[in-house]
Amino acid sequence: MNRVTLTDIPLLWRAQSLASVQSSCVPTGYEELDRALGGGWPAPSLIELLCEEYGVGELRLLLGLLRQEPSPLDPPVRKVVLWLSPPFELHAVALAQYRLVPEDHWVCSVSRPADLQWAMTQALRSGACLAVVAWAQRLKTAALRTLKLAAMTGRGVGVLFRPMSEARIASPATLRIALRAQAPALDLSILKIQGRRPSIVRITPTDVDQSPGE
Amino acid sequence: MATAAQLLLFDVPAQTIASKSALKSVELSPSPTSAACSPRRSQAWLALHFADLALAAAYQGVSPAQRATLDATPWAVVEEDRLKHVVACNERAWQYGVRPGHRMNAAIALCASLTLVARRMRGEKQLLERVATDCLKYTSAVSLQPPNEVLLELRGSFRLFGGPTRLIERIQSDLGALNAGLQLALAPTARSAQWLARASTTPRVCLPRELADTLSTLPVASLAWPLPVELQLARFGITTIGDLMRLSRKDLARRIGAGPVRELQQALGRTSWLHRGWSTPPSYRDRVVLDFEIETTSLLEKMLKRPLARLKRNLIESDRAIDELDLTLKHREGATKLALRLQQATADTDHLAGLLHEHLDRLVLRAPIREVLVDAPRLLVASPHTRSLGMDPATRTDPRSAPELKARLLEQLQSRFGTHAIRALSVRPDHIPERAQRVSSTLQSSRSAQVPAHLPRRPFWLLREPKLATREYEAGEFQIASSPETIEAEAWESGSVRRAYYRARMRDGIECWIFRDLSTRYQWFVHGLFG
Repeated sequence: MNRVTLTDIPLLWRAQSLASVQSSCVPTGYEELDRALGGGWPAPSLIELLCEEYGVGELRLLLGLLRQEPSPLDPPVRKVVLWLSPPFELHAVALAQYRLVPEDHWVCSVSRPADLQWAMTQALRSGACLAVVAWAQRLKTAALRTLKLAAMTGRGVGVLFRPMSEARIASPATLRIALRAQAPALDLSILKIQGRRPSIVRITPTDVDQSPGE
Repeated sequence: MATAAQLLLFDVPAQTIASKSALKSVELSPSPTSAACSPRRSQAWLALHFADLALAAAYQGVSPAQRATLDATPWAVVEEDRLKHVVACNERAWQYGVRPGHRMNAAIALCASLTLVARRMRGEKQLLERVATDCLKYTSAVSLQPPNEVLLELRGSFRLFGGPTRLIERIQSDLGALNAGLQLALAPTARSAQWLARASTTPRVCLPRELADTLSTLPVASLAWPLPVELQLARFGITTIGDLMRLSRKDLARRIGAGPVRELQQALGRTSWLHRGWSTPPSYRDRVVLDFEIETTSLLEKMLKRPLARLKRNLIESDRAIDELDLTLKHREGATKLALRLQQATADTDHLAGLLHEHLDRLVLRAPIREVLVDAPRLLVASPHTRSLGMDPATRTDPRSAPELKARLLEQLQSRFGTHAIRALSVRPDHIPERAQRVSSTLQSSRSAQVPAHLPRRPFWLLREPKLATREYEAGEFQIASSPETIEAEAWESGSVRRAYYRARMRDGIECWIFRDLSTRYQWFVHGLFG
């Protein structure tokens, strides 16, 4: 008699494949923040940064996330970082100074919110993107949920910059941080983090490359 | 078409006849050892002879309504010359006594109800080319022999298709629908296969060791040699190839010319015969004439599924891929054009359908569509990827390579937002900050320059235009946090620039990159933000 085991059911999602989804952390480069986040930026995930001003060190925070470790394959496989609707022009020289490769950075300006959501979902789902960084005004909860699912499918990180007023509305994002500049430091209040306790961290953004791979 | 076809050299090895067992052993048991023991690969040529090609081409050239009437009546194809000779006729006309070669008047005298259809030479050529393209799925060595023959070298395809008998049956059933009077023969040399196919209406298989015997029984009349040669041979009393083979080659060549003698040598495998190989046409075209007018893009998308499926079948059969697809939607007046440009060549029409969906989503039809043209301007040789047998357990999809994923994402974004909407960054060797970067819409070409190590930190954000901030500076809002960095360019370097840059912090924590314009009355500007 044929015995059917659980492994014969094709639609069954095994725990080991789930474990690889809930995976790793990418060090942020700031010790206090790493401690608060439990190791670093979660990946794959959807991260929401609530921020009113530009130029307070918000991109320097993400450097650890945008840097890709050299791949063992030959020719090296490079993933893409997609910037959707950035408020100013991204400066290629600055990217190169922080040891990022400017060619891997694609910039796309999208005007309609629906287009932005579509582009971000496609990019995250495709699996070709290391991270997608987007500036969005209004997004519905259902849209955020779609984005998070897409990030999990494509195993990338979605970073959403949103205005501070959105803090009142609950969000399905993995991590939610409100940035407040307190010169010369930067206050990060972690509003939501999956599996950990919210807290407030104060860091000083520096120009010094804080990655361990120096 | 001849320019596109590459020249393949099929030369018949002289050893073919000597190694007798090769073809036979394959027929009995397809074992790899039999091929290995022969020093050079023997060949197996299948000749397809279409006796009624003119009839089939003319039948396909008429409208469906006319076809129904042709089916019911005796009809014939006539040449468009002065006397209007009959080229071919159908079974009913044959029963009335009409034969190819009759003049039109004679044919009508034999059968008063005869329908006459003009011969379509171009249609015949196209039909034969289509058959040759179709045959590329059996083997890659296909040769077109105008006016009505196609030669295939099938030695390497027997195992895949389950032996010569099965393969011949399959070719017969595939091409039988044409009704072009297919006659075929399998033989160790191309010329002998051609002759055998011309001579007999039933499929013939000739083994290497039987080649000479089989050929010697063939009547000379079936070779389609020029009439004077045939008559001359008849005067010699020669009726079969066997009689011909007994004569001295040299004398024969002097009497009837070198051409027929060379053909005889080729048939016996003593000299080689070079012919042009047939490859797929360099482009693909499809045309869909609609019975009704289409007014919505969603309906159009559904309608396009079938042409795309045809395209896919075509690409897979001929082992090609495309990197460009043009769609022309014809209206009552004018036409709308859609162009898909792909980063990587693909034969995956599902991906193409996805891209088309993005295009059609944006498209506003200005008039109903009556006709659709699908045009792939060039077919490229497909390079298949190595894929893993299993799926990635986490994503449960077929894992694809990273460059392919990147190209697909780019195609997707470009088809929704336009080709120039996605830009990649790169560094240009220029010391003026706004000229130091290049945004290129073509993503592969640009190569970044090296950034000097001693260069002071540049800001992540650069304003598109420097913002005047003299008043804010005078109000004391900026707190200078670095020593000045002077950047100058003279007028001949496309615009004179004299600036002293500082890094400054504003009271609310924003770090700016400001400069004092040294050329115009000491004004202050904000040029970037340290994000």
